Amino acid sequence: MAPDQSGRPLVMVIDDEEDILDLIQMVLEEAGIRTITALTGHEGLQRLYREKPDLILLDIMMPDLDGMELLKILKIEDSTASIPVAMLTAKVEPKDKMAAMQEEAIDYICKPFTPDELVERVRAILDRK
Amino acid sequence: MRSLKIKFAAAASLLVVAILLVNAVFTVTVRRSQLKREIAEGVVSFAQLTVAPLCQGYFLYYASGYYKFREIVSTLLSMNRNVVEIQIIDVNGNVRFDSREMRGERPQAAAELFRAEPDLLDRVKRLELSRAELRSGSGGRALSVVMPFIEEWGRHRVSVRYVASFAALAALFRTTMLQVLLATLLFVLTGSALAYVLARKISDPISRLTVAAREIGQGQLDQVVTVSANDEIGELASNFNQMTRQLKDNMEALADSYDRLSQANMELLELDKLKSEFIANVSHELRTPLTAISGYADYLFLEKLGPLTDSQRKGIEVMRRNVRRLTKQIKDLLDFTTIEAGHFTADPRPFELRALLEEVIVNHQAEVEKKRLRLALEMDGPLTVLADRERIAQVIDNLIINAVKFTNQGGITIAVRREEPERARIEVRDTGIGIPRELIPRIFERFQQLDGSSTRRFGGVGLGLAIVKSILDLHHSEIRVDSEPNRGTVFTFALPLAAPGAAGGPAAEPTHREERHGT
Repeated sequence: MAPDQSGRPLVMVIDDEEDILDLIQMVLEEAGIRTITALTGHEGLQRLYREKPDLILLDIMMPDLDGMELLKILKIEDSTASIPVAMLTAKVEPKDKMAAMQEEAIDYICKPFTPDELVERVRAILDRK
Repeated sequence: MRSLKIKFAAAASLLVVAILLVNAVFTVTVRRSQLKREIAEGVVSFAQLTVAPLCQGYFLYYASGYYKFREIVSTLLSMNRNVVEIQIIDVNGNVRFDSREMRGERPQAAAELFRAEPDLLDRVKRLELSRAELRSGSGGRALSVVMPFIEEWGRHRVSVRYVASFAALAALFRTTMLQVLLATLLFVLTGSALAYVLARKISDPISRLTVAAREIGQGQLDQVVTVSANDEIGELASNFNQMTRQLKDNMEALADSYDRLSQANMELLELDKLKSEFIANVSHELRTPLTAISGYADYLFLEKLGPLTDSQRKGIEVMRRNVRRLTKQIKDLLDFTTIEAGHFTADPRPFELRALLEEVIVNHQAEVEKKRLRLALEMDGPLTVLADRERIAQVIDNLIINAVKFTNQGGITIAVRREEPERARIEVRDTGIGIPRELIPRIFERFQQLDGSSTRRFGGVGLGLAIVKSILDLHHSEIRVDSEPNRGTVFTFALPLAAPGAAGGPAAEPTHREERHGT
């Protein structure tokens, strides 16, 4: 149901770490970006169809559904293939980055990141749309 | 290669032939002189026996019964085959009878005889037997014996000259030589055959040893050479076999050790892989809490969560600085496992060096100020280099961290110069404690610091410079270190400038010029 009444873009963050979700939500909301969160891949997948976010920030290492798996699912589904997905992960090795780029991730943000860096990169993607 | 057998046989044959020849020459020489003496003695006795009947026959029958006298002469001549001529010569030098007449030949004139044998007349007059050797008409040698005929009352009217030929000698020489040659031939044949057989007995085991040695040389160690002989060759063979057994045992032991070593090596490699994976996992696991800590610290610092007092701000600043350090160390650790696994890569693209250096320097400004040091950049204008931007940032970062760590007063200078051919030379200079010359080669080894105690004093795990070297290796760039203890250290390396046509190059060029105008 995005965009909402205010017309602000909606970002969905999927990460199994609650602290990280809180931090990101806080930072993005502060920057005026509407943010919703999901603690597992499956939860994210369910909420996705209802919320239709403008960008998904996706962790890779998650217990139930791995971020890379989820990315593949999203890109195969016609209804979700057009939603940009940026990876947000502790896996900083080039091979992981390459793999994600091959699956059409739009960006690859390495943990730890500074709040400014995060806002800047999220804005850049949203502006591109 | 000429076979040993043939060499042996040839040598033996030559030796046999030589011995036989010497023997033949010796035999013939001895036999010859012996026979010559025998012939001479035979002629002398013949002369003594026949002079009386000859001369009596001559006086009795020569004038009246010539045939009777001829019969006597032929009978006497047939008694000694060596005597070929008989002449009866009187003391006045007249040849009364010459046995040549009987063969219908012309008797020799006295003058002819005396010319051939100048002392003949003297010998004819002498009252005793005399002998002399002659060169006979056919070229061979002959013996002339002159025997006086003394009549009953001592009257000496004539003497008889006997000529004996040594022709028998030549015949003897021929037969002897023939015998010797036949014997030689026989000896050579049997000798060679014998030598060949003997040599075979020696060389066959040697050939077999040679073949076995060749096989061993090609790695086939199951060689046993059987030699039944109980001599030096038998001993050689048995030693050879023992050597082969020893070699085989050693090879097996070696193969065994090799197997065990490669097994151990496999285990080590596996362990090393596990270690790398473990470090990678640890690094991932540490990053998530770090993200939360650093994020909140940054957020607090920006007073987004409420105003801060000075001491709160200071505390948060310390937190942020240390989180950065921790992040850096985790990054180094992960990079290092990547380097060790051989997965380290660089992606060279043109970028502007000055902007990068400034970015890196800014991150160190707080720490440098805290130690009351200077951190300066010496660079004329922007330069576009072709390298992996992120990796080069890491290099500069590590070199600055290293310099700050070991410098207590003075400062750190990063100097960049354009260098022909088309390279940028980057120097990181400090005025720190320096590195003793003998330790310079070791500073790029991992986990290496000047001495064990420095880990305590200066912190760090000694991966920074090892990573610097690995990154520059990926860029085919060599890093140089010049250092003087208590004076400082200079690290120097070069990067290629981006070709003007390269992506990013044309964009960088105008900026370059504008900047130059500006300054």
